Amino acid sequence: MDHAEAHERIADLALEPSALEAMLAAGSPEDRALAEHIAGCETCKAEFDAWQAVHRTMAEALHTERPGARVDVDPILPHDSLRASILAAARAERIARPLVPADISPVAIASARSWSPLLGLAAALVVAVAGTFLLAGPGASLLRTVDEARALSGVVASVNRILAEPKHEVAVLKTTSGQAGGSVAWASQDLVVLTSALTSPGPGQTYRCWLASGGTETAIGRMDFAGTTAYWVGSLDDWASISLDPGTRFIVSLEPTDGSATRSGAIVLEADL
Amino acid sequence: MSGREGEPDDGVLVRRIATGDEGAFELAYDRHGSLVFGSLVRFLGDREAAAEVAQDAFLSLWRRASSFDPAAGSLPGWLLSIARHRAIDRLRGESRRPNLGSAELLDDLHDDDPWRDPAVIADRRWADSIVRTFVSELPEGERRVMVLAYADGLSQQTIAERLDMPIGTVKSRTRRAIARLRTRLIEVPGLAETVGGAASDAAPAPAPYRMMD
Repeated sequence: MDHAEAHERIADLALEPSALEAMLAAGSPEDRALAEHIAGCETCKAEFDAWQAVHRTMAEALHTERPGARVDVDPILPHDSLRASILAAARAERIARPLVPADISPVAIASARSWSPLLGLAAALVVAVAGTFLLAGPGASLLRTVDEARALSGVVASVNRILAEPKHEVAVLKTTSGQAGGSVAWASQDLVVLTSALTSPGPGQTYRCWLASGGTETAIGRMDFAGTTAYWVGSLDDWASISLDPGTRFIVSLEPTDGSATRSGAIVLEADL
Repeated sequence: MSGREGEPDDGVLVRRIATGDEGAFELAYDRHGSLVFGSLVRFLGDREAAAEVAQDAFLSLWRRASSFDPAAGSLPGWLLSIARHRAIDRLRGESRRPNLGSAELLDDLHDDDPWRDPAVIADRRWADSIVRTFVSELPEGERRVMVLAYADGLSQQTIAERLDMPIGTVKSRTRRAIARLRTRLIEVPGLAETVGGAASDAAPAPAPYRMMD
């Protein structure tokens, strides 16, 4: 049995929930030929295993022990009021957090009493937010300018929240030559990465952020640029998708924009958290 | 999930949301709201509680869109991770197990069940809730053949006889349905770890998100 025949046969067997299992046990010449092919073909083995996993998952989810029991698979649609409520809440948050970073000064000034390497970059960000509007020339896209200012405003708000917490932490981001090139700062809820050591990535490239711990690297985000400052904001609060364990390293690497969940590019910045 | 023709895909959508684009946020809700809400209703057994948790999940997206990395996982997977965490918190707060709603869902919670750990039960319930919601989103004809095949354990031939339709129609509906479901299962980390397989037409399996339980 060649590869195409095997692929087609697996697709046919996949139509019956029990057919894949039965194939392994059956003794027909066709089944034996497929089993032999799968044993020597990683691609078909993976495909076979994938369909088995689909069947297993579906069978578990739709299984009923009582014959004739009705399975709850009718569509459950949210009422229109939920949509309206969510959009209204989002809009209200926008109004509560205006585009211009009105909440910059009080917290930042209070925290400035304790020196932090983050403050220099935070100050640069504040200037960048204001400058985004002031420096936008006649050829600049207003939409892009507004979008960038909004994004920066969010970064500044996160920096403020971090600095406002007494137990905030700051780690120095180092370049490959060991020079300080930025900061990773975090507190109970936020994690902010700021650096001025990166140049804008070329077409088809992006800077991606990773957490390395216990021999595993996990992609957590992509750096954005505002002028010469690159930044990334993550969450550490109770629903966060990332967590910081002791000994975790923060890594920035240059990757293709359509890169996978595995790092392939060289490390350009890193910090021990 | 990619956008429909002419619509931005989820990655683009989230980047727009991160800049405060309300239109992108609306589109994200329209695209994934039913999945999140339907899964939560099945898990919590309470439409009102499900609506509150769904709202939390979407507002988290609105506030934290910049922390989403499309290369690390899908948007529905991310939203469902947030929703799951919020829903379990809610159940913990109410000191109760998932409200399983119908007696049918209680089938495998008998005393002799080998896994009675509440966390395991909750994980299983959550996975079942999502899968059933995926099935509920299929066109009715495809949904019927899936239920007859997996819930009733009928063969393709028996389904054809039961529905009084040609076997070819049953097969084509089944083929479309399981292909759709496989694609959806890949979107949610932890649902079925090896579903990605080597299919060239399937999206790459996302890395599992790490939740802080």
